[in-house]
Amino acid sequence: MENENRLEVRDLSVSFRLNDRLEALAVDKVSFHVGHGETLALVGESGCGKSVTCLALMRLLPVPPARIVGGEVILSGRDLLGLPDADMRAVRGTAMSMIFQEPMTSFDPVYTIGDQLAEAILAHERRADPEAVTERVADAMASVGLPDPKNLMRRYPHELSGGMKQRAMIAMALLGNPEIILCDEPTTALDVTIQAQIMDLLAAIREDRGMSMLFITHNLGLVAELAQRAAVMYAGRIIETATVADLFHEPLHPYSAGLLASVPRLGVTVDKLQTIPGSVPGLADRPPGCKFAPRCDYAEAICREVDPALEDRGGRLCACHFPGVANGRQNRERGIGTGPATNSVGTVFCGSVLTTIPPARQWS
Amino acid sequence: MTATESVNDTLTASVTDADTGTTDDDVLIRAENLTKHYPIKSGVFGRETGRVRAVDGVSLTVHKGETYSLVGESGCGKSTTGRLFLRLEKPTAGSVVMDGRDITQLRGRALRTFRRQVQVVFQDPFSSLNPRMTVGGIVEEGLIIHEPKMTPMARRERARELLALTGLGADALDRFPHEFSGGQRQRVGLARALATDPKFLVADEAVSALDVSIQAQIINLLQELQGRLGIAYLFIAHDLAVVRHLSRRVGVMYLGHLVEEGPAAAVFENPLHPYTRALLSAIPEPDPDRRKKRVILSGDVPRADNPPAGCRFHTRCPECRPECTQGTIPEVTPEPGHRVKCVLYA
Repeated sequence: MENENRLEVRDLSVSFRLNDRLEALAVDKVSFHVGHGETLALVGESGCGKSVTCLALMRLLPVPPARIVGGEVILSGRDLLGLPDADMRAVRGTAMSMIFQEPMTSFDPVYTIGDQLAEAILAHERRADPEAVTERVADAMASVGLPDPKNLMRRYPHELSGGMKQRAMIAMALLGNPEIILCDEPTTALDVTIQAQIMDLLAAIREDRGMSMLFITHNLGLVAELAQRAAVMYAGRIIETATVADLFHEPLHPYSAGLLASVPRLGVTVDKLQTIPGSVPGLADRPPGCKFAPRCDYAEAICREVDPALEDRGGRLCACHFPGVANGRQNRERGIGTGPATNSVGTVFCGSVLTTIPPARQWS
Repeated sequence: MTATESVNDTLTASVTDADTGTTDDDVLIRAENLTKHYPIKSGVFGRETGRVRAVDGVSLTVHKGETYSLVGESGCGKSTTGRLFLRLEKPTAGSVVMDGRDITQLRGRALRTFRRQVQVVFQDPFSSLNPRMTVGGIVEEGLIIHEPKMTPMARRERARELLALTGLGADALDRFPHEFSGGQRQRVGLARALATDPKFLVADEAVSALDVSIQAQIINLLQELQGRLGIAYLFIAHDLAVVRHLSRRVGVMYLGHLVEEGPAAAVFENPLHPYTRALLSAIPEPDPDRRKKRVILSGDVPRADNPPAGCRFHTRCPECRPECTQGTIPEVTPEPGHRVKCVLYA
């Protein structure tokens, strides 16, 4: 079983200490796997725990306030959470590396780009030949499409544009030839035309090297473009896992359906966007039962009491007492059979916007 | 034919006399040849050594009750244009005309009257509300300035109405901004902007900082408010799908130039400028079945303190010709209301 997947995460839980008495779970029993050469997208809105999950895999969370409460992170048959710190350092950058969101702040401003990339090699090979290191850094930089690498290596981060810095970041992540690369919103801080360049580069790298990828994003467009499978997170949980095609065509969880329907699309004209009322609950005030129940149009008594488990629903996983309810009801209302629920925008809410967003509920 | 005229003669019905520059009934605010350069100063004497050409000769018109969107990448000058419309900046050259008066020259009482008619909602709902003021205080502040005769009771009542209008309950009045989520704070920002009953609202990336599910709520609210109150929006954004959904007309900016403008449907379905085409093709689409042919632009946006000669996009343009690299690029109107600054259509 274990050889089938590059990375396997089982019941990973991470908590944060909020104050002396209160500790809250930011990531709650999260399980997923990434196959060889596969790209899994971890999707969710801010505060859902996707970045914390990613940092926990790399064991980069500050302890305290963070604490890994339990679970396993198995990379190519080895449990990373049990490794001594020194062994974990050897894993970072060689077996698993990470690309961060903010290319502007992830480099140290006082060292040149070349020095910082070389550090990624020297951290693992103390006695590496300096000239060979320079060569390798230059090669890596050329491979991500940076022009004139030898010259660029002598430059400081502020002399590079955002897109170039992100390319340098990717070059750094690739230096150790990792088995899996974790991308935490790698294009969020970039303009769309630059984002297109970086997405193209990531896709090319994945093809060339057969690398596995965990891609964290809130942008559903990027998910559709790059990933084979997606895991949707909400309030620290994974609420649905499916292939990208299944998820976009027939989201089972009402939250996934709502998320897909609330994105405006080019080429699809609607009078009004569908919304999800309310907002994501804070870390300390997550409700009992299903975390999404207070915002869910289909919630019933059981949803507010019993927390649904992530269960197999015909080859895909969904944590909902009424999987597919959002599709079914929308389709019934529109008087049609099956079809992509994502196009049925604006059917659930009628009347004024003011009635769809009951403020009292948000503060009670 | 100047740019403004070419827009006017295509903007149907109520155009009266574009040649003499008189405004027609529909026009709310019109910018002509709007230019803003920021000096770069260096040395002990602060000598001007260069200029950042943030906005360079932009002409555009916003009509009553419509949504006009300005799109473009960071640094293209779209926010500066918005600030010029609000008179938060004084232009280096050009004019902004509203109700027959050039607002760049307004002073004193006339300026105050103008300020109450135009309002703004900013991008970041966290830094654009004073953390020490209650929500009621924030919303009432505009009324204190512009309606000095209003009694405190009446002001409070008005604040309550405004909050209800933006979907917040009366219990918000005595709370502080930090008690609200991003989406709710953006509602407070909207209530504040609506307090003085403006005709024109500049929304500078007003939904960019919000999560998808919240973003949809605010977009719907903006549309709902426009329908009720008839306010015109200048919607500044980089998310093109949102722009397509909201706007009647769209202007595309690149390095301080307005490179293309037209009705939203025309610009999105039939983009003319190579930059617009690249921008549109770069948007990742949330549909795994639709694989688009992509125009990937090479390189980065050049710096605005030393923009390329000729067409500013020529350094990255896949269809660059020799004549693009120098001189002035003509502005043409290949189809009604749809103008473009590109030699391909000259």
